Amino acid sequence: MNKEKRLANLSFAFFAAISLICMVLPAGVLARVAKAVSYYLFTPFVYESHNAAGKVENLPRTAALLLQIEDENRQLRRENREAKIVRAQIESLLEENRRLGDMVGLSPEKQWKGVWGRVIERDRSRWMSSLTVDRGYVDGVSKQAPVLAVSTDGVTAALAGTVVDVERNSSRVMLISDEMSAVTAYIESKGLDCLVEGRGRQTVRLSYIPLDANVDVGARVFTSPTSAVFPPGILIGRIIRAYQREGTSVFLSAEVEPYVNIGGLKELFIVTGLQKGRTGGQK
Amino acid sequence: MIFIRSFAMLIFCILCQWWAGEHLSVFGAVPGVALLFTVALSAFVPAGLCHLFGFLCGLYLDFSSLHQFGTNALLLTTAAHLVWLLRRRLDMTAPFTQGVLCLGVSAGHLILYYFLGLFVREPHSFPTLWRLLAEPVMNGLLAPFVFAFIGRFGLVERQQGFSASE
Repeated sequence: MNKEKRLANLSFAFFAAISLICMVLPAGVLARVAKAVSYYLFTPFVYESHNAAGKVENLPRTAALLLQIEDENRQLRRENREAKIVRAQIESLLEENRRLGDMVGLSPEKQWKGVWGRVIERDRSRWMSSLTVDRGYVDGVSKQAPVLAVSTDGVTAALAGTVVDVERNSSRVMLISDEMSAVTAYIESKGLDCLVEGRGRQTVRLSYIPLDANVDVGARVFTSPTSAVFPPGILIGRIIRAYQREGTSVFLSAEVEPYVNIGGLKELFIVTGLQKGRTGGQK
Repeated sequence: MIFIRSFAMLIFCILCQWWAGEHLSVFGAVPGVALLFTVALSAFVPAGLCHLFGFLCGLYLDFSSLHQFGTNALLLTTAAHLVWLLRRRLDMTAPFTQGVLCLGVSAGHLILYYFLGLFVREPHSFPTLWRLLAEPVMNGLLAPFVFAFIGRFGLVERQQGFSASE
């Protein structure tokens, strides 16, 4: 074996050994150091690239948009007047809802507060697993904060995932389609608590449905009031397929299509200021 | 000089991979720019450098992942070593060879990533048929362009020197 080949084998063995140690001992010192170094090395790079690209991309668009703003402004003023009437109606309904809730002893719904963030990075190896947003602890983001996104029809907001890692200016979000994700949920009109589990695909699985439950295709699924992580009543998705009982299983399961486009998320709403001490979200 | 150029190439490669992930994803299938650059660079630069390049590119891919930290670093280092070993047996200047090589390496990368996930007992579903078909084909088609870019960047003289001497 010549010298060049020997050196090549040595160099390969060195890098392969470091990689293997990181893989096999993810909680080991070397893996933690490598993770920290990679995070501090690459996060600012991605963050700044994202900002720079946004500015460059927006230049011609901004110029074109200026021309449309006048028209849109007029239209928005008109819509704003109409919205005031709708708001008055909503406030009246909210008041009625609060009054009825007090009568039956329900706790009042909390208003979600949070920040909008843009996706700056996605996990290339597992597209449906996680992503990074440009909001960190300076923006009030905390670990296990629920993350919402605008639904595919653009009408409402629905659950997208939960924050698993927070840095100064960025956070990593585990999507509901990740294999490690589990969300306690209930089926609309049934009131049954089930579990929404990720499968690494666009659709998620709804498990632990009682055998006697009549699952309707098209029924919507919401986060359950018993969830340890998520506020109740967040829309998750709708049932697109109900599976038959499998073998000796004592539960049914179904396939749920999330209301958000998991594969094409660009902007996310991170809920902030929720109660401390919540746990769960990961299997 | 070759180190400085390779470092510049690494920065450019990461930038391209990030941009591709943002703009070129087709139903979850993304061109593996980091893999392409690793393969292309390994065909022309010394072994240690191509291993380091593959390792750092892999680390970049791993940093954005929640699971299996180190898997991409291992796979890209292995890909770099494999190409470095093969470069004396294959005509790396032919676009067809470049395309087929990148197609094979990226298919292998996808499958091995899954099996390494089983090895470290991480829950991981097998890549969808779409990804398994689309990503290697995308990479195969892009390969000649990446090789040509690296050629323009002045990193191919050494390999030509090798061919002449052998």
